[in-house]
Amino acid sequence: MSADAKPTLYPRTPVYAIIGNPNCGKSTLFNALTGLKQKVGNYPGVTVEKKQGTTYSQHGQPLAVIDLPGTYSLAARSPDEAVTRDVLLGRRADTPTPDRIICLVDATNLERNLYLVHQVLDLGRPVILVLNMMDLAAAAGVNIRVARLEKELGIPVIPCEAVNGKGILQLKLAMSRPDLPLSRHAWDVPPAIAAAVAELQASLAANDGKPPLSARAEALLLLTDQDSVRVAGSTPLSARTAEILQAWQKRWEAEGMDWAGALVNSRYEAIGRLAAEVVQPGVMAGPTVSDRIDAVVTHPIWGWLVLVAVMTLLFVSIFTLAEYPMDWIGVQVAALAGWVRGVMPPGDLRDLITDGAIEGVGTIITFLPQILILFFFIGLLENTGYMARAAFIMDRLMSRVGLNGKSFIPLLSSYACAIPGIMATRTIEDPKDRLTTILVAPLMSCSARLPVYLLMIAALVPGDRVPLATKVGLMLLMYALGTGGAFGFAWLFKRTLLKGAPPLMIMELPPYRLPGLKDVAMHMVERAGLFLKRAGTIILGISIVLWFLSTFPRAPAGATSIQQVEYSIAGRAGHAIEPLIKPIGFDWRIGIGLISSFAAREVFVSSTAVVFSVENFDANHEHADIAPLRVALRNARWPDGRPLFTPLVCLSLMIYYVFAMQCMSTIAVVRRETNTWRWPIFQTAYMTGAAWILSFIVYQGGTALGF
Amino acid sequence: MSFQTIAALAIVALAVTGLIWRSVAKSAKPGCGGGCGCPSSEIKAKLKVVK
Amino acid sequence: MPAEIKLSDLPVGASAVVRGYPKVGSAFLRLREMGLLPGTTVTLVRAAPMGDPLEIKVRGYHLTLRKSEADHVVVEANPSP
Repeated sequence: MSADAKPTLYPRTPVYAIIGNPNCGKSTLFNALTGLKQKVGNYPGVTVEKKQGTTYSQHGQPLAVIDLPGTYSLAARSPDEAVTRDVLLGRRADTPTPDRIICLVDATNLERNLYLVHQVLDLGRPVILVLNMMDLAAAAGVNIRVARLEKELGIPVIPCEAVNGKGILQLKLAMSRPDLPLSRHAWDVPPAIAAAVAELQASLAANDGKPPLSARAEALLLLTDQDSVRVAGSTPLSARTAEILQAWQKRWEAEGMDWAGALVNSRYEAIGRLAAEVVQPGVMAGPTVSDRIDAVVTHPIWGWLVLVAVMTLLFVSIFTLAEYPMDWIGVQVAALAGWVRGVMPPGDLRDLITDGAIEGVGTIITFLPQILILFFFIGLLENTGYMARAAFIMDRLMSRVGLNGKSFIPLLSSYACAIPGIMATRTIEDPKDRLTTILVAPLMSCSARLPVYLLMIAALVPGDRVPLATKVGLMLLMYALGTGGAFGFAWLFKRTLLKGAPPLMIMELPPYRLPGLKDVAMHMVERAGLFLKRAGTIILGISIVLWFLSTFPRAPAGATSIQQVEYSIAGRAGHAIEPLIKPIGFDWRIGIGLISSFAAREVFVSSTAVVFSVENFDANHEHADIAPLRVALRNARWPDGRPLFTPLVCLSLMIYYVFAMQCMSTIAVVRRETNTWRWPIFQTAYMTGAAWILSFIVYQGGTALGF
Repeated sequence: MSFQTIAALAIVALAVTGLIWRSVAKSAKPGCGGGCGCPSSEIKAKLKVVK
Repeated sequence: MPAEIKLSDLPVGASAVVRGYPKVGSAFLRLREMGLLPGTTVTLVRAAPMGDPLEIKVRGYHLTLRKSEADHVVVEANPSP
């Protein structure tokens, strides 16, 4: 369907795209419109998230909505901005060209936000302008004459506060209109550039098959793009058009003309004139609330304290708030296993269900409350705007190590999972910086390690009541070790293998906002769903396979349960690596856990549960309950009778997990992002090597000191 | 072999097939497909760093 | 004659008007797209705890950039009030 068709009743569902600056509340708006009717996926060929949803018009007609990645301009500088541009220009075969565009604008800084709108209006498609954060604008004393703006632009302008749901109804009404006016958008291209625009437009229409208005818009874009980012899945320019573009660029460079800047200037001139008509800046009533908060948060001393306090609060919450739900889940899991054992006759299938499936998955699910709290906090920090300040404070440190603040975000994401962190490195232009960040990202303790740390901490301290301070302290220690390791290795790499210049850093600091609790909650629910899905599928599958590997082949009749496990495939594998891990205090059963962690780190917990439960079970054959894993670990012994899980061993194990490269999925992603096997292999080697050496030092050193 | 053993082995075979199929499908599709529970895009969007 | 100085030399709290970008490059194009054009007023809000990067206020919002980047932005300090 041609994008330049006159607005008429659409025979099919119109496709809307939401576009806007980052931090303008786009996801809040998208959530408000689509609720739970959204689907998150991927644009084929690019690691950019595709968000689509459905909202309903006032007549109940479904309207498709695409949430495009936030951008400041259609002149793309990164893959996700490239995707936004490509989808709007209809250059992606996998996504329909949006029929209508919703431009979301932050009312508190109208001019900058209007720059993108100005570019979008060039496209000649129906646009609805949504002014978000009107409450914050009012608080800042900014008064926008909405009616005037509507008149000047000729398109519907809807003030709203997406967080409170205000204005959503009016937006839906506007979206339901069968006709939307096209904007009265004309502006003067500087004469020096006009000729180039005309020529490019003609070529785009003739050789790329673009409709006239789209062609003009794209021509203007090409002339603002100094190094255009192209991504997989987007149709490239025709050879003739590219030729014309290059010819003009060469000519201007020879003349010393700032061709890209000229267009930017023109647009802002037009925007400035518009803003003068439409915005009545109120009296600036001294420093805003945001400014006052920032005075503390970015203070040389207080700022650091705040950061440490925030991290500590996070970990304390993880331990205290989650306790009751965790215990409850544990009881339910044990009860379920007991029930199954009661109703089924003894046999392999029953064992598979209780010792494999329920044991494996159940143990992982007990960690759900803690992971939820972690994601809740991260969501809260993002939502309020604190994260940007953290990056601001950290930048100097990062550049000491040779990275820039941009690496902080991928590294911070890696606290949840290294995979998206590694993918987020695509925003880093410098290849050496990018590679360094990728190489150290897995050292940031990801959430999958959390169950391992928690299990070890529980097993480590004698007695049932572990002092909270100890738990929190140990957690912080592990995270600090991981973070320290990441920085340390980054420094090392940047000095040796990957020497290069420190890169640029330009970033917006959004004003502080009250967290949108509904959004954070939705986010958390989404994460919980994903976690459970992962548990239900991958981890279930692995637990079943692990059970099989630790049960078969069966030892000859009359063997003890310990001999049975040893006879099995898993046992043999564990024994095979035991010589390697004995010096760091691990035995073959832990070895099984280490190997199975390659599938996913948290599987260590499941596999340990399976291996020890398989063992203990035989000893308590008629027992209705499964002994809690912690007790099982405490009772575990070396062949000579020494306890296996001494506090020192637990510590050594935790340290091993901080540093070792295990997750297969991460290795696969690194392979894909670096296009070679060399780096993932190197990464696995250096990380696992470091893990072993440090565990060795801790274990042997500790033993020598008499622990 | 008892019924239970056969059933158990069948399930194991199913699990293995499922896991292999997942890892093959994953390598074809870019990104984690959301399976790792990542908040990355949110962080990225909020912390848009300008190049 | 109002002095033309580098943005990085602007004292904290002071305002200035952007005059030019001696060095051309794509990063600076993005700065311009974000509103930091010749003729725009910019205020230096603060420096980060360790001295770098800088936080500036332009067109009503806050932006951070490193001293090394601010070095390439030429501004003319407003006469002191």
